[in-house]
Amino acid sequence: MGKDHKMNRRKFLGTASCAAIGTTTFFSTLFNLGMANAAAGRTAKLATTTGSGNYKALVCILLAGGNDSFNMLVPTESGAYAAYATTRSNLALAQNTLLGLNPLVGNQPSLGLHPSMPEVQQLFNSGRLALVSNVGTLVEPTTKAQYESGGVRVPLGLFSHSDQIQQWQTSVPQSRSAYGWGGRMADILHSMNANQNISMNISLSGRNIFQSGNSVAEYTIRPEGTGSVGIEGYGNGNGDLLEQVKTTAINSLMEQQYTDIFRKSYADVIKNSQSTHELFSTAVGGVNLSTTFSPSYLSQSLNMVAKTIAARSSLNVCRQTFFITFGGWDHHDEVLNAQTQMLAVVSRALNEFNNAMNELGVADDVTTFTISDFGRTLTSNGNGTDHAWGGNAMVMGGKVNGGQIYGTYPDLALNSSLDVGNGVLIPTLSTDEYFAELAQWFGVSNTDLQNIFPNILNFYSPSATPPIGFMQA
Amino acid sequence: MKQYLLALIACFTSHLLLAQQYTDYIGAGHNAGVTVITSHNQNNTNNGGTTVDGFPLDQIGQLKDASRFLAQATLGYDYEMIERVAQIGYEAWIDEQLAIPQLNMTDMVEQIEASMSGGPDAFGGMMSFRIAWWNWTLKRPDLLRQRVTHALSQIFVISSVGSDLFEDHGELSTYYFDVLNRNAFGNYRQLLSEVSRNPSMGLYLSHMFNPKSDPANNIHPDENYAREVMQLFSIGLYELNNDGTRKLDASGNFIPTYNNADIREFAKIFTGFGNGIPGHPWGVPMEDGLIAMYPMAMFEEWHEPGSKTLLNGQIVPAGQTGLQDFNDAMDNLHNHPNVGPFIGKALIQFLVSSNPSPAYVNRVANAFNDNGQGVRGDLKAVVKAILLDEEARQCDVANAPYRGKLREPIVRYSGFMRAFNAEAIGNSGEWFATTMDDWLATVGQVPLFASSVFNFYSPEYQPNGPIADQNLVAPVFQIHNSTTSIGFINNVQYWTFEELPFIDAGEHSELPSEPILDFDDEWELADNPTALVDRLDILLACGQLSDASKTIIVNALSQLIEEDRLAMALYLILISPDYAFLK
Repeated sequence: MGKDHKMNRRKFLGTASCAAIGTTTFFSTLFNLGMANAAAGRTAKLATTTGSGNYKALVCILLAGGNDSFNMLVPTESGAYAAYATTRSNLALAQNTLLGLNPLVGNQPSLGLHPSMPEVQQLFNSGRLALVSNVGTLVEPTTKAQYESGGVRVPLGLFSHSDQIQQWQTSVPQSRSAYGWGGRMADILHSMNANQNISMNISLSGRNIFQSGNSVAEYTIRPEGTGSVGIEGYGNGNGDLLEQVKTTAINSLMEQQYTDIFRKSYADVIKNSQSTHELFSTAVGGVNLSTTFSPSYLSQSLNMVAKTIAARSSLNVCRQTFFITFGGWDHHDEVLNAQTQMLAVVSRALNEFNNAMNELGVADDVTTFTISDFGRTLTSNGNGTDHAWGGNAMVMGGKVNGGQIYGTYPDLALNSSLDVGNGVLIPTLSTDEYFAELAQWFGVSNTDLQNIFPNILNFYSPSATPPIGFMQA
Repeated sequence: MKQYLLALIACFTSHLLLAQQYTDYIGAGHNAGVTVITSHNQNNTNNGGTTVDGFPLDQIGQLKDASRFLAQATLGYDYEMIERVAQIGYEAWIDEQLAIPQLNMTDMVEQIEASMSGGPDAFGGMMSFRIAWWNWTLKRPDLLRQRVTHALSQIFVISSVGSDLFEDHGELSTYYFDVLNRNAFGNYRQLLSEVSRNPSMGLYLSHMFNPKSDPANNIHPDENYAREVMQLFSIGLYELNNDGTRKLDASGNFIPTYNNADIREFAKIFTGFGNGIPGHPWGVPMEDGLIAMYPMAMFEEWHEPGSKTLLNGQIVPAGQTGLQDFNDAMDNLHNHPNVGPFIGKALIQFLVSSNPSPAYVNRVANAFNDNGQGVRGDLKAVVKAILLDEEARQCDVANAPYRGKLREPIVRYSGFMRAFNAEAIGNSGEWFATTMDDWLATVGQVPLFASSVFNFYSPEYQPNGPIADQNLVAPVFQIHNSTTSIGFINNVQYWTFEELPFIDAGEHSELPSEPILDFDDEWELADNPTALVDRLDILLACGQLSDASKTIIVNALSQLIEEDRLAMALYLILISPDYAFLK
């Protein structure tokens, strides 16, 4: 543990109002708390919340590859459906197979869900889930004329997976940033968690941009067991010399001051992982959850998220984000068959997770949302679709104003005012508006909103009225 | 502070030693008579009078350098190979390697299958590829080809993840791997063409059975391959200078190499490819591995008619055959000035350094652009330029901050096994193949099993903290997370402390065809922890263990009985940051 870290930590203890700091048996150093400490002053009103009271969690599900979400959410009114069917040609879903949505408020478009999503239909109709329509990466509001004349700043690398998947996590589409908005939130809000020895950002899918901040990195767990992974044969060995010698040597190797930043980073990941594991496995090991989850990777990952949330008191945290990647959505081929299987997986998993949140009594404290690289071309390439732009997303939770479709569901006729070719639609909601609303609910102040979403003023003036309205105030 | 001073003195010493040869490094093209120069600087001061394995002190630095070279150029090597490289020099070794006749992995398969414990059908599907991969990796003498092929498999990516067809038919991976294997020392133009017509790639990126436009039904050609062949396999997203830096327009913005309209034109080129099995009709993929053996055939009636516009305004005239269109497009990409810096930098990142200097990329791109005999795309010249470059070889540059790369986990695995001459009993490699599912789950890197065409990690990945703060990249760190970092350590635990066969060939039969590793030379040093660590430092860590790390490890060994020392030494070195990040 470096001298600097010690100082930071002590300073932090002096300013935050956390009741207790977790201790670790072995490695004593954790991630750099400098930023969190600096931010503590700015968000002082939030830092009065300690422990696991007033708990909130955001669960981000990345449908990696680009979900063809205009076959997930489909018009059912006859004129709009006819335009859909003409445009989508051999990929149009039959009208009589669509699952009807019964919005809870008036003036909503008449839409249906993909036939493999009965659970989501039920969640929507019961007000637990909302749909956000034609959302995508934008630097500023963009019209077709502006796009075609080049009179507007557009996202870098439009239609490219690597760029768009990154921008959906950074919400800064004019540049390539290593830091995501979940990470930037954590830089500011991490001080709210009484236990500073475990990252606010927990990933079921390894390293990701969404949860990477300047000072906070994600902690990666697995769906299996108690989630975390520890070094085998590490500890005091109950008198076993080999284990003791090994443990001492591991500590010495990893705690060296590496001047090479790559070697330092390598060691830091191992140090932090081992010390967090000791806290995490104990906390999650004590959880009993009776909700059953399907065997799919997504369901099992959400099962582990639920267990982690169940352990929030023992972990002594009040803010957490979770990140899960469910890949395989790049359906240039076999989009109909593949979506039938994969949307069913999503639908079941969301329902199971909602059941678990109900069981734990935290449905109001946990909001789950989907993101994806982009929507896909409305037109067919034979039996699949290609990369496009705007798409539809889902938000679920007890504080979601569910049973509604937000944004403007677009006209799906080709050559519409949003179509820039082959049914590539310009988004009419920005990721900034979508995410800022989630961030506000999570506790980000309107001042900090602009630090987290540098383009937000292009779309929204931070106020007491949220940008879109899908979250209850 | 003391360490810092030592390092300064050492590097200064090196400078003095090298002063007269500074521009005369191996591979500079005027190296006749030069054998090997000692560029190593880290431990010249701390070996006292000791020798390792009878080598005079002044040669230890050479062994460390040779080991470092081999860690860049191979998937694994043993101590004898280090000594050989130290004797004959880098360029001679490369020439020797280039002369080894290439062997197709598919040609090894029958022989392997005949010797498998459960008969040829015991391990079908993906397992057959993994068995072939491990045999090819552990047994073949063409070490350099292995490393380059492995790098190419992470540029021209296919994967069995999520595909029952690929999982069930290992041939789809094996035959594709041989395209990379055959062309690793060939010409880029041929490689690109073979990759693009390969049926496994056609299935993976969906340009097999990609039909021409059907405007009446709003059906357009599939854009998948058109996009990825440009973004990932040839030119990348932005126009590059020859040194790999991005060109800027008058407003200071990057200049895209293509737009969506270009994608749609190239998508037309990649229409009409179908199953290449002679006599096989359009549209029905054979649900078995036979399809993997034949390049995709062009079905003219499904190929988009009319002219197409390629990059830089090149027009493909109407009326050509589909294959003429295809060949014109391959030429168009091959001749794009981005290919040298784009592919050159990618290969540098896979072999030597995540953050090469623009000057280094420029030199490698020059070799791509012209091999010295007027040939563009000669990968032999590119590989030589990468490995013999001063930035790859010389002390002061190699030890500059920000150079080097995190060793890929799978290369740490193969490297450990080859360091001790792992042999799969019965010539089968089954044991290694059986470890791959667990390895994937715990560590996250198995050949031809990336989660998408974007490989296991992005070449531009920046872990947060000091690396991102300094705007550096560290691709392999993308799979070094809380789970996989510890997962790797636990695999090392298995290799060293728990899996006795690696230590003692005597008593083991529960697993199929367990490997035996040869530790004879290391056991002889068990009574001398310092000598043992010195030897393993050269063999595994390329002499890059710091004095402090060595002290920690030697102290640990000294507390143990001799029988426990080798396992502990291997374990601690293989998990140490000094080993993991190869400068």
